[in-house]
Amino acid sequence: MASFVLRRLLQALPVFAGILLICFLLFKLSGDPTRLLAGERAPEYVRESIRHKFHLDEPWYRQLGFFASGMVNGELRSYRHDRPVVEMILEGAAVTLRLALGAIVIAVAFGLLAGLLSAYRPHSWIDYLSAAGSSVGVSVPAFWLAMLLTLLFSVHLGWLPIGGYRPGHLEYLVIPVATLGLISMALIARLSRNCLMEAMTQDYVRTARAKGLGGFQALVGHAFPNALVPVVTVIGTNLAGLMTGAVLTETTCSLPGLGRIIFQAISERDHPVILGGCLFFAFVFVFVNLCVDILYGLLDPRIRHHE
Amino acid sequence: MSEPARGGIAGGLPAGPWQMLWRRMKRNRLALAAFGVVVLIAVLALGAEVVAPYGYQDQFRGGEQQAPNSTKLTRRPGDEAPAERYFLLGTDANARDVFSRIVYGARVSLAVGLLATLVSLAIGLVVGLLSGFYGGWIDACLMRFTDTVFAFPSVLLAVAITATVDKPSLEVVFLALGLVGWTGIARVVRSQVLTIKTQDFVVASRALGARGFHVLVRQIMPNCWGPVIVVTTLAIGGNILGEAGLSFLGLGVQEPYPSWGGMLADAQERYKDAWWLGVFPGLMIVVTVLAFNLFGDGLRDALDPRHTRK
Repeated sequence: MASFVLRRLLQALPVFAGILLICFLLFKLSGDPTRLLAGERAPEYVRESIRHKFHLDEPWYRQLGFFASGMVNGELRSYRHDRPVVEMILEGAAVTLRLALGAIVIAVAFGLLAGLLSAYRPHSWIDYLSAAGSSVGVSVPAFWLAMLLTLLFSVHLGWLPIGGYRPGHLEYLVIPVATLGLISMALIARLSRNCLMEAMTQDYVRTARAKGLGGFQALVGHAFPNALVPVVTVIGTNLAGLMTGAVLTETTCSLPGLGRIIFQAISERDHPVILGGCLFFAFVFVFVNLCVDILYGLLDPRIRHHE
Repeated sequence: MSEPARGGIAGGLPAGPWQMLWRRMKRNRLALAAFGVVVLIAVLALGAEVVAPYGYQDQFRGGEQQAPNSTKLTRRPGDEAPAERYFLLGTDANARDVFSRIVYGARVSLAVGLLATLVSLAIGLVVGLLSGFYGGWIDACLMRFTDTVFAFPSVLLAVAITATVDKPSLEVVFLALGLVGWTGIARVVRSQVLTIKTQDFVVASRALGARGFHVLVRQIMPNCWGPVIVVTTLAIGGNILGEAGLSFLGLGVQEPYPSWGGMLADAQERYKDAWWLGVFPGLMIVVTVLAFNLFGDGLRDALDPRHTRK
């Protein structure tokens, strides 16, 4: 197991290097950074001193080296806020992780429940309702759903605050978590229904029924554990989508999460923060997919990770 | 030598792949309805000048933020005298007709959705074909690259690409989305190539001395279209959502030209008092994306009977 984990992390290294390169390329393509940092009409000596301060007067491979080593030892600083990038990212990640975890818990719990009920009674009203809900759910822009929920619960009913964030006050997280949760729930409900329906046609389920097991017991006891494998994969691969949704949801709900920090950094051309944020997202992505692969082994003993 | 009958089915009728696709599609009423909606939106986009009652930047003085289904005495710059005007979906804070702006906005959504998908298709096809066909280190490099792009949160990558230019425009938006969204297509193409390249007709044509590139383009590519068409259709919906997201962040088509995401961004400050500004453009996004997705699902069911819902 340890060697499997190690090998997967080594395989992820090219991905991190690739992200570093893509971010650096976009940095070089986006023009003179001193134009935004010092203003359009700043005199040349001011620009020079800024370039010198951030090592921008050195050849490109040295600059790339500064980015890479600064990321590794945590000394890379923001161009704008005079703070270490790591600090800013961890601050934002604390908010975004709360948001993403809450959304995943809601999505998995209700998504699996909807999938189970639809597979238990195919072509019933609950199946059709769940199918319609998931089709609409994957077609809704996250930011619009957040707007509608705000309109209903904050403006009309007055139950929840309109946007913003205060640490320790969960009521600010309700609308963003519900938004992301509902959207991911749609995917999970649809997928788990299809996987369960397929599992129900398998021989082992027929055997279980022949032994005298009721339909519901066969579904939960025999089909469900087997249908979980693809569902777990989707949760892993859609994490990137969830993070993307988080960018838009955080912007709509003015939540100071990582997505909004990176978005702001992009519009301010604060490249160290963009780089750090993207690497952090990629790290989470690789880590979650590693967990998914380990979970596979636990859910399906046929899949073994050999040398 | 006469041409052999192609895949005939019941009744001895010879049916080409398109006829078979149509036969299966026409039984799926939901997918047909979705296709109808797609056509309807395309008509809105192409015939915007005819469908929209007013221009997208006409301002009607005296008619600021009117509720839907209202009539108001307003004056357009250049008018001799104020006139009674009807606003089906109300007006925005700049006294522009929401319905007309939504109709013109369909152009942006459809254009970006289709063009971005074409860009993704081109990249995904090249990467997938090369990766699947040549294997080895080419495959390893291309797939690591695909993983890298896939691991980026797509909106952020698109935002970063649009940020490299001073002023976002339609071209930048569809290029950015196209450059971000090809990974799924590349993977599907690659897996198709891997299956097809071991089949007898490919082995036979190699045995006959066909060169690698010829086999790839003339033998393998024409046979991997089915699943590729499906992912491509489903990608259109995703790109329309992506365009809406970028426009919402202010990185899309610029004012005064309307886009649905941009209209929602404008509405952010005001939808608390004027709900119609926040509701209708979003509804159009959902209807359009839903139509493309349901049509794509229908295509998948028709092309791959294994996926058919029981």
